[in-house]
Amino acid sequence: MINTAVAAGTQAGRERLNGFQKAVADYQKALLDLRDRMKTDTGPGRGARLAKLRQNARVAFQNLNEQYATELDRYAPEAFRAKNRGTALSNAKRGITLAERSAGSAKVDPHLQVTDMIQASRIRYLAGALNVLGRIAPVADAGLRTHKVTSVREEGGEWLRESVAQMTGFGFAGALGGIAGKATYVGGTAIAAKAGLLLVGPVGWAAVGTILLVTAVTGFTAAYYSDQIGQYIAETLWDWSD
Amino acid sequence: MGPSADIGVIFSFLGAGLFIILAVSWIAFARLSMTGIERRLKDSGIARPCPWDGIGYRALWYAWAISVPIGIFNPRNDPSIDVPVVREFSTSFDRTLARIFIISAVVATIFILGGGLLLDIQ
Repeated sequence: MINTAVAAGTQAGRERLNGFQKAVADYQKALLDLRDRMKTDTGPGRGARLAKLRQNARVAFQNLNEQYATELDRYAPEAFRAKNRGTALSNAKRGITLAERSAGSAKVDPHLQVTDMIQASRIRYLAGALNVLGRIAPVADAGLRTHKVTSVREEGGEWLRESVAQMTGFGFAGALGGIAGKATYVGGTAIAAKAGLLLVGPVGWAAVGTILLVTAVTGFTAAYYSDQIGQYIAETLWDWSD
Repeated sequence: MGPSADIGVIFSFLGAGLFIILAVSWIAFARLSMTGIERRLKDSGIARPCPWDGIGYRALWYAWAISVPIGIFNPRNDPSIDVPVVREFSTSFDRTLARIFIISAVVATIFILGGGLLLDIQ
């Protein structure tokens, strides 16, 4: 019944998730349905429909609690389990409270988005640092390149040729550095998998860290060299067309 | 420094051509496929499967996850991207674009970096 509202795409995606993820996704879906219905439904029979959705959420949580009690313990602290505290994984009543409370606001309460929580094993912690680095590096690089072009112009050189070379080098470095990094990452994870280093647990984390470090070094080296080649190519073609 | 003029010009033309193909296929995949996959994922309430990316390298990760067969070089449990979810949400059109992108990426990278090393460009 509840899943008739779920898009076909979700259904397809769900099949690949493991049982626990699936149960959590179902529970979250039930809560979000309740929230949406609370927000949009008016008119006669509203109470009964909401009651049905609350019941769906309870059933989804019960399923989660019965089949995946061990996993659930990892994400919902024991101290919150009987209280109106923590995320929606604490208990069904907590989930329903959060869903109904969140119906009044435009944004979904992050405590309802429990599927995000169980994906925390992915490299989420690194995400922030990588994102900042990823945004700063090109800006700093572009600044240095602008400076180079400016100084060539001030010295009375061919600044247009230099700027084409610098832009080409920038593009080559960004693209080929990324591809080399990806290739290193793929090779590194393949070696780790062959060596039996599963990418979970402390050993796995050390492996992932090492792979990322090597990936970064290879990526930057390849980017640096691609920059030289890109500049060479641009300058060669520029001179050739003269 | 550098190779003789003729070989340098030929290398430059081929390298620039391969790079243009790479750039077009990269942008095509990112704009036509990746945004669609991410939109469908978002509509389904699934978190972005590649949460670390800031500047767009995830296009590479998506394309690799889609186009390379599941195996040791494209493991199902890759910690940097949710491979099964991305594959599930991609269409055959996405797979074609991803293959073109990955092939042009590999060819361009090997040709340009390898050629640069062989010709000793500095």
